Amino acid sequence: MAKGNVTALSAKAKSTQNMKEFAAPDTAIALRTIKLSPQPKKVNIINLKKQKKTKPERYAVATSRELTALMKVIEDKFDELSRNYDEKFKSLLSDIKKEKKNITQNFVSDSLGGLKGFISQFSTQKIKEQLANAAMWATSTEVDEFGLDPVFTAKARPFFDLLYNKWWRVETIGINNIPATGRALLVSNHSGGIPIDGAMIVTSILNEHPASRITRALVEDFAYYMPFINSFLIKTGSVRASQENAERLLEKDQLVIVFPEGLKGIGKLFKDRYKLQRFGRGGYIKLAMRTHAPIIPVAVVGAEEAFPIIGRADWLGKLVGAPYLPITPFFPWLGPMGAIPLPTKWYIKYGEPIEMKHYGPEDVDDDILINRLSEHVRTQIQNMLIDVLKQRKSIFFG
Amino acid sequence: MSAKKNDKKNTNHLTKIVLTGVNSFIGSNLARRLANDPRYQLIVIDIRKPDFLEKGVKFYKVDITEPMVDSVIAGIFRKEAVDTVVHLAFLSSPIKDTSLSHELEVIGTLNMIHASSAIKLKKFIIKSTTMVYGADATNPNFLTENHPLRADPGMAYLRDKIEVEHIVKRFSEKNPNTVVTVLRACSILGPTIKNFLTSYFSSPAIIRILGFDPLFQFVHEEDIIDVFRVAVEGDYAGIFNIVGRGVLPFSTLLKLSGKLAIPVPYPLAYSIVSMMWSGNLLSVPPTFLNFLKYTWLADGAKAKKIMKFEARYTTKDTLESFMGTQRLRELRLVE
Repeated sequence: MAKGNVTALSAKAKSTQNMKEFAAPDTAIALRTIKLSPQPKKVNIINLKKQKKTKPERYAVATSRELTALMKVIEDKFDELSRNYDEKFKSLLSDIKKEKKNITQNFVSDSLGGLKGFISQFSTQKIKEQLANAAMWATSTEVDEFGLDPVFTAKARPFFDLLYNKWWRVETIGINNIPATGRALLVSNHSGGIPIDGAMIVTSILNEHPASRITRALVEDFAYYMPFINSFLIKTGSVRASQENAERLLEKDQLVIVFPEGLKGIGKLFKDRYKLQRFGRGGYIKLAMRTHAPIIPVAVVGAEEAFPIIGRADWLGKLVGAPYLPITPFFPWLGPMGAIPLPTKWYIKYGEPIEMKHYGPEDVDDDILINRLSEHVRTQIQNMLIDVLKQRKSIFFG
Repeated sequence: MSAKKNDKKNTNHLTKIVLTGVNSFIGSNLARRLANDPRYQLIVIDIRKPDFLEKGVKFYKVDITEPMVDSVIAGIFRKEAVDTVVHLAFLSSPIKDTSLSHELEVIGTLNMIHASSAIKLKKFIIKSTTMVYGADATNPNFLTENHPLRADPGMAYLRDKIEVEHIVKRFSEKNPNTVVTVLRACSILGPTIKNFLTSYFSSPAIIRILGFDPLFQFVHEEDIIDVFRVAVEGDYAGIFNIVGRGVLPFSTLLKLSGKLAIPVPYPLAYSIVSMMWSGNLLSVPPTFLNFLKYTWLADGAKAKKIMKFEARYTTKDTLESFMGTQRLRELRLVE
């Protein structure tokens, strides 16, 4: 009995040992053959006989009852384990098969779908739509009759606000002299090589005035028709300086800025700063007479030092289509960097409106009167400039 | 038959209108509308009889560019007791043969004017274009009818149009009793019209001038036919700019059209366009590029005030109505 038991135990032990070897995956089939087939037992008996001969004393220690119990436990364990493993492997195998199927199916459908989605992004219609959307960036489909684009202006405004608040730290004096409604002709001194002072006056009225009115600047021809600047100026509401244009704007009760110094003002040399040049031929006075628009004198302080012109190169300017090329301590020596205006402290002072209502169309032909009025406005602006300059202690810190 | 009977009955109330250039876009559309109107008797003078003409319309085959043809036309005017002349025999696009265009536009108009001077004509209506003002850097944003005509005399097409304007002006000064109406139309666009502007917008890629973005205005083809009817019905002496509502920057128009716009520096654009013009690939000579560089808007306030004419379509609507049809045309859904 004992002999037979030992044989069985040894066989079981052997097969459990084998089991461990089988425990490695991909052997589910091998395991099943061992469990189901009665054949291995015979093989093991032969093995046992060999073992018995080599190590007999090891089995003599265990009692038959103990061995039976142990054997039973091991047998149960083995059965349980093998059953579990079998089930597990079966389910795993089927899972793998399913998974494999799914993966291949998903891969095909996913990649096809992805490809479709990918291709659909590049379909002509989509591309056209996207291009059209991109093209219409910062472009309004409706502009006013002079081309002011509200969408573009809104996009450009933060840049001008930055210049206004941080770069030049503009301070406004007498903003309430600008009427909340109705027409007015703003007359200002002009300077700065690059006519940026107009943009700052526009920004100051937009930001500081309670009615936040849009002001239309009249621009000299050479700046107005400079490539790229042309498009920018039109979209931000500037208008080519001409009697017809100014009259049309004032008739529509808009605010209009003129710079009667014109080109002479922009090209003013540093040594001549804040000395007002001749005010054209009084065209703006005639304009105010015809449209009965009040004239508001404006003095801009700080701009005349922002771009200190020490010389003018006429022939270089002709090359780029400008009347001259301004030469400063930095420009054109430092290239485009030299064209950056200095961060001086700016003041914009709005004077009291000069009423023009009592002049009629017949006064437009009175050249002496026009000259006198023009000189009056010029003196007013000159005095305002002197007032602000007197109070200013530093060019850069005010 | 019944139409003829009606004619005889209402001879006294009928306004007799002579129409030239009936094969043009405006001519054909105006002829269709006037032919259906019982108040008018339509007399057509042309070198080719249009197939759409109805029974009541009289047709005279006359080539207005021939020498001594003015007496023939005067004879027709007298025979038919003509009240109104609507002269539309003009080119809608520049052509290479400048001598032919000169004969048609200037000499043709001169012959019509001579014939009109010979009889006591009530009304003379003529079509012109706002392009005669010219695209110039010193233009104000809105050109009124009093503005001098400054189109580049190097452009034969516009030189002829300006000469026609001068001829008509002299005629109106000599004949104060004749109502002379000059309708200067801005760029006409619409679903059915064909001119150099429509061919420009239907090309796959469009040239624009780098760095320049003038404001543009279009007038819809229906508005232009309407205004000619208004001019026929009422008496409005003088020159009138006929424009659509609103303006748009050229760049925005190109974006709305969805066309590929290639910005080209002006000198390069000039040489490209002149090459394409000499190679018959483009319907405009290079001198027209100025119209893409400078603003040449016309002010339609006078037509609104006196003729009570205001366009129904905005510039944007006009472009969109044209582009809509153009897309269908590209898909071969309409002709």
